[in-house]
Amino acid sequence: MRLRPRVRPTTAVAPPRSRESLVVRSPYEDPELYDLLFDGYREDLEFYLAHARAAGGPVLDLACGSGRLLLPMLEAGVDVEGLDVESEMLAALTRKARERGLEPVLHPGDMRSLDLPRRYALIVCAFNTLVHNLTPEDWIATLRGCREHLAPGGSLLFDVQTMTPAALCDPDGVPIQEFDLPTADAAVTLRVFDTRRKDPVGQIQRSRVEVQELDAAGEVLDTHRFEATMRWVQKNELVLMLTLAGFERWEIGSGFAGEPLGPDSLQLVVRAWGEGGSA
Amino acid sequence: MSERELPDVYDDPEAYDLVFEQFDEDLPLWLSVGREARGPVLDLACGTGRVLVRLLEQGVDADGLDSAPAMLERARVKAQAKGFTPRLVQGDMRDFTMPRRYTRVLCGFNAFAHAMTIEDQLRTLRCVREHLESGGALVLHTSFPSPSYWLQPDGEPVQEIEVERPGTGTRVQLWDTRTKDPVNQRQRSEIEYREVDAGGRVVASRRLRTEQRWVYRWELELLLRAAGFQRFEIHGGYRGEPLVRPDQPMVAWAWKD
Repeated sequence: MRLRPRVRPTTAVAPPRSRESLVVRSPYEDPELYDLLFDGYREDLEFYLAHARAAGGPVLDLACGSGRLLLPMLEAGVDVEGLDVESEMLAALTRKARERGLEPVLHPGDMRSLDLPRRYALIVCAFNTLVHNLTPEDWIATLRGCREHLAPGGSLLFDVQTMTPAALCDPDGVPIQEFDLPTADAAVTLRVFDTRRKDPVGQIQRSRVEVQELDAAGEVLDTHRFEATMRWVQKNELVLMLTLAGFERWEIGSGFAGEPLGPDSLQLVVRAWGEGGSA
Repeated sequence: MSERELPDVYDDPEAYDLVFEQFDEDLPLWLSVGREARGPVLDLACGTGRVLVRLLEQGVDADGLDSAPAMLERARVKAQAKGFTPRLVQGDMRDFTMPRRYTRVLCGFNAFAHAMTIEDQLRTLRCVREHLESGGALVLHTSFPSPSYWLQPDGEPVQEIEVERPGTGTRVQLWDTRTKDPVNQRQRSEIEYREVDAGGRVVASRRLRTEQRWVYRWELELLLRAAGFQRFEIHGGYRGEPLVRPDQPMVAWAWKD
């Protein structure tokens, strides 16, 4: 699951008990549910949109998914292309684009083996997607591919989850209520629970996510489940991977307003330049 | 007294040995590394010779390097008492020059944690690599904090060790007051050696400082790669156990092909 930058849990709740309906391997197999959960997330939109507008050249949205950022970029006149490994997500994006009269250039493909004809002034990889690189090999392959696809002076921009002492000490295996989300018709609320297990040596977090559909009276109408595995990174480690991938300069902060990285930051916001890069 | 003014923990080798010499669970590893080296061995950050003297006793052709003159002097005296005169060189692990090449370089007891920056770490590993014979290996022990460690508050003295001072009836305690920086993976420690008599009265106290920078498992692998090592293994103990928990010692083997 491409979790939003995680809110510190305030309550641990009893595991939801309800009838099961849809069980999927990953959230990306169900773009409709994915969009219900995440399409409304806007905290990063202005940040990525502003960088895309200012790029002064073509932009690649790496792991563009169902187009949460790519569609607003297109509508803003940005020359942006998208790449994603999940065909269901790309199909959903294509449908949404057509409804708006847009025909984006979309590449099905794995971010670890990037091979596209163009070079980009900006590559963005938003919403914690790089946590899907589970090994250093995957990470370095992805970063190196990005660097090779940058035009001179171009940069890679991404946000990714890191780990804090407090979050590492959170108990494992306890369902945590992440957020409640009203749906468009307002009669149904989505309630999201995440049960995490962490491997502090491998830096792997396994999530079992349950999404309950609740009616106005709080009755569970339906439950969706999916699983996700992510690998968090630490700042120093990321610097080594950027170095090994051939990047020459980088800025690492936290948050979308240029906040510095602190001991309680669960998110890294990174901009990296290849050869000939500048601030 | 500010921490900056405190002497370094390695300025007091006598106290260091008194509290740390008992930690010898890593010795079988280092002795087997030395015995199977089939060539000269460098004990990097050899300190007062806890491992080095034992290697010499086993007939291993071992040199020692350390940055702390007081520690090296104690190592020299301890070796001499056993009839050995090893090559002991005062130097910085980030930038040292030894007159020969080694089939094994060992760096034990978390000494690598004194490389405080990525640059320090890479310089150290590259310098080691340059001092290895082709086919030789670095064997390095280091460790990183586990979740329970994070739960201990900063700035409060924690008693880590207590030992008897032989023949005196007093006990020496090591108190550690830590300031942790999780983003940069650093910890500053104010160390107090507190000597108490049989009635529990404090009869002596000395404060020193030290600083450490821990590395995580993946990060160690990346450091080894960035330093030019292409073949390595990372274990979770002194007997080659798999590394699965953060409270295990991390032992890395890195070969120069």
